[in-house]
Amino acid sequence: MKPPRVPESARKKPLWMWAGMVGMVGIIAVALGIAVWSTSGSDATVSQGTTAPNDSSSSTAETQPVTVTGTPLPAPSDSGVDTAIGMAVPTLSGFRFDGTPIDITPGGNAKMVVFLAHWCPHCNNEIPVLQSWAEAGGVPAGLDIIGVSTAVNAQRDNYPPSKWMIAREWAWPALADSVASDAAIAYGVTGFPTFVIVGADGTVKVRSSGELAVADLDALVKQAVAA
Amino acid sequence: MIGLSLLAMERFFSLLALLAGGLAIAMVGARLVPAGHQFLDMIRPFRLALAWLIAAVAMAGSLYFSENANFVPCKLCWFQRIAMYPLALLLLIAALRRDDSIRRYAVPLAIVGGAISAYHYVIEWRPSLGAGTCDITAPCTVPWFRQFGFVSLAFMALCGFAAIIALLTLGPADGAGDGRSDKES
Repeated sequence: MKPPRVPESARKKPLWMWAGMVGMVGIIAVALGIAVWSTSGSDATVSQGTTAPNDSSSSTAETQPVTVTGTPLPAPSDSGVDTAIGMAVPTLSGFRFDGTPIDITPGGNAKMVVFLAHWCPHCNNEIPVLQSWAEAGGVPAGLDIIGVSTAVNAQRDNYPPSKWMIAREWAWPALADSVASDAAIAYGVTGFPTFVIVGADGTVKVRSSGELAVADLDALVKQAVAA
Repeated sequence: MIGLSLLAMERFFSLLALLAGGLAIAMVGARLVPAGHQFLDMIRPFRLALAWLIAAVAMAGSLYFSENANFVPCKLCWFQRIAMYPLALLLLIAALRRDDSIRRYAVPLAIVGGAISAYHYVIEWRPSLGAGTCDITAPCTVPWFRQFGFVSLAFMALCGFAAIIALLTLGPADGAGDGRSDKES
């Protein structure tokens, strides 16, 4: 394949073409200068937030150690069939933001475990929906609601999650997940918000990821109760 | 780049993106008014080199943010990368060979990339228009930063694609080189 024929005049680079190239380098240099100058007084160090020591006792922190006992749930498959349905959930032993212990166990009442990330706009939208649903009497007797603050990232919006959950008026107990999001991984969470409804027998009845309207939430819980 | 803060780099690439976006808007405006043709004639000899420079800087920026700043690219970011990265190589070869026929291949690629960037930017502001869920590691609806309150990575990519489209659709004044290479082969 021959290269295109180019007129002789176009082969020569006149002075203004060189000036254009120098101008481009100059524009980039000016942009870099402005960027450096305008940010020179800013603190570019990003705090990774407070992390509680990884032991059995804890203190106030945005992430807390979590101990997982039992078989972790698989992540939802692309086929749409959730293989976690019917599986026993692992026990999550952890802490609230203030360091008081909280466990999410297969035993006791049926429970809806809600995994939330402070930076996720869908979680931000979902908390008021949950409140409305609860205020309208949507929560059936014998169903506990427990939140899990996970995927904490100090670089993202609405940090710290402890203040975010208060600001969003989260009305139920909340477990603070670990830095490595052990609780979310143990429940096979791949997106936020994730709802996992666990029956009184300790097995998964329904698992759903994504923002839900009040009617969808109601339907999800009814489906879980009927299962 | 070593020694510059992340914030300075975000601002640097944001300024370059705004320049690229400004260039695209200026070129569209110049086509609409007769007086603008002089401006277009001034840019015309550089169109391939400029388009390559924009693609190359966009690729360098995207690699800096993912590899150095550890901003994990989301699914839509990857689609935009698929459109932008080949342009950095193809436009370099085309600029060196002064081969305007590249626009037949590069413009569709840039249009697809630009459309994805536009959608990505929209769902960053209106997450409800997206999938309704945040991916655990790299959610498409959550930008890593917004310089000047509105310049996110998706916006930067959109500016880059728009400028590349504007430059490549400018074409040569006399048709020299336009499509000749593939006719002669």
